[in-house]
Amino acid sequence: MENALRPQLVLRSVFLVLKWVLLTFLLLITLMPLVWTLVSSLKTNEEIWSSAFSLPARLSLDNYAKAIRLDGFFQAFGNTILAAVVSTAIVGFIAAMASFALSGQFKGSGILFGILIAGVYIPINAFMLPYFAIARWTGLYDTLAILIIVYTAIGLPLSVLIIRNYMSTIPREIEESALIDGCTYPMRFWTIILPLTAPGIMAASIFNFIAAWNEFFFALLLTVEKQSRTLQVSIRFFSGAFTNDYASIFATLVLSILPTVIAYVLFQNRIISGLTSGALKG
Amino acid sequence: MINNALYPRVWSFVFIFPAVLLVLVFFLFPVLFLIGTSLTNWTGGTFATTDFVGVKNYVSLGGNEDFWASTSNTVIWMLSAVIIHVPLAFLVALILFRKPRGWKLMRIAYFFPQIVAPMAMAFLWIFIFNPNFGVVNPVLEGLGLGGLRSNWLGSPNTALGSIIFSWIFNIGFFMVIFLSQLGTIPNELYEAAEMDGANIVQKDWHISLPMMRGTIGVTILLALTNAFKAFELPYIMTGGGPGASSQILPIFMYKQMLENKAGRANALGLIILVLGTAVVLGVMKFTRLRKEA
Repeated sequence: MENALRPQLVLRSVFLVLKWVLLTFLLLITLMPLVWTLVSSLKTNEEIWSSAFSLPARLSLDNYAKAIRLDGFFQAFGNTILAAVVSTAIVGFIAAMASFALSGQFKGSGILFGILIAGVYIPINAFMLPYFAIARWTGLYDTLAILIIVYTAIGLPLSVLIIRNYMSTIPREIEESALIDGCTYPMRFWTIILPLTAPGIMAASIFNFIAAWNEFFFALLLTVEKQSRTLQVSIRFFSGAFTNDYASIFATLVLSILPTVIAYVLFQNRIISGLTSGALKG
Repeated sequence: MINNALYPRVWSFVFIFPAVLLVLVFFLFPVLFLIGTSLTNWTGGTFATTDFVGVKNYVSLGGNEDFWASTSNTVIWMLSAVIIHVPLAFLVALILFRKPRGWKLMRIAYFFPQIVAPMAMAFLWIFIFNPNFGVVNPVLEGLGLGGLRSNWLGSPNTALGSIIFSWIFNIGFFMVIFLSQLGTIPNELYEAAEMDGANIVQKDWHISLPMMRGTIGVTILLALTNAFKAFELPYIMTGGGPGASSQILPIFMYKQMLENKAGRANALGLIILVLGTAVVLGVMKFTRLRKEA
């Protein structure tokens, strides 16, 4: 009996070792780049050049002081906050309205839902010249407004998918009782549906905020001047300003990813539940 | 007094109008625009000097070496996603699903790189691969593999592979999707298999895998679509170079636009769109997604 079990036991230990090797490797490769950047942002350039792995000899925020003194840093930071927050708010509202209308189950609502969410799978940067043309025609080229509108449009399909799926879990009786009470359509939306759907809208909004904050391609395409540049586009100019001052580039990078890291740490449960509750059932 | 039956209809039209308008302007119009302009010699400026040239843009793409290089790089990118990225996410989800020690921490950590801007990730990996002060070469030496030292992003043989390496282990997004769907598989199935003496590998192979068919389809779709969306990493890390060795289709398209070949760029855009749609429909059919949706 013992002999028969032994090969299985060996196999089991091999699996166990492989499992922990894999998990540890992934932990290293996902976290080390970020930790390394953080540590490097606290080092001097001499320390960076002399050894990739050393810790800083003394803690100093000199690099960060240099980063925030960069020409246009606060402008870029403010622009990014504005574009991300405003587009997130608008797309959340528009998607919630559309989801509510679709819950009416009128003729063709299924097809309409399909059309609204089809954009999830569309390789959106194929549309770079059409968007460029729209920006030119409307006179909004090189403004934050065109970025806000584009981010709203890009965020719409996934937002409708998440919010509509969340809304469909609300019991119909609640809405029907409101109907009997003589609530008008907009009133029903505003006082009953919107509060009940808040967690779904929140989940979609976290996604939209992070996506808009991180967006680079259309910001590169649709803006030029310093007053409309977002952080992602500015980083390239900043890195140009610090030609060989890598320590300061590291500090700038850390500052640029800080808001999304904070959003993630605060809302990581909601991000995960947003993914699980609706995003990808369709 | 408005007709009672008509009243909610009018309102639902009003409520859905902004979303439909956005889709018309930013999703439908661009497709028509791509089809139209891809048949012209538009340069990106005024249409006054633009002429209809038929399928010339498509023909010239067919004879363009960079186009084929970009296409094959895009295919390599996609294959890496389908063969390594998605299966790795699935495997890790299966492991974490059994809640080993520290699984919650790992779930958070594995997701982490995906909320960081691709722009920042691109810069970060440039530094990591840097032959002077980066960490890749010292790590290889430490492992006794010093012979593999290379100028990773600067050599045509390693540039594309290095870029793929920089994202392929960021499995958090798909892993979380898999984890959530694994939770929906009825426990009785596993219990019944256990009674029949199935081990963990057999249980996953015969129960988890088939039950997750639809979800695997969705993740493969998203992974393939990502290959058409990827821009920042190659653009920042190598600019598509050296030569066209790490150039993927979106980068090629962007370069065509910068060269004022807007008509040709849009022909390329349409090709990306058609390929994307074909891939989506193909995977949907293959995994019978529609039935389960």
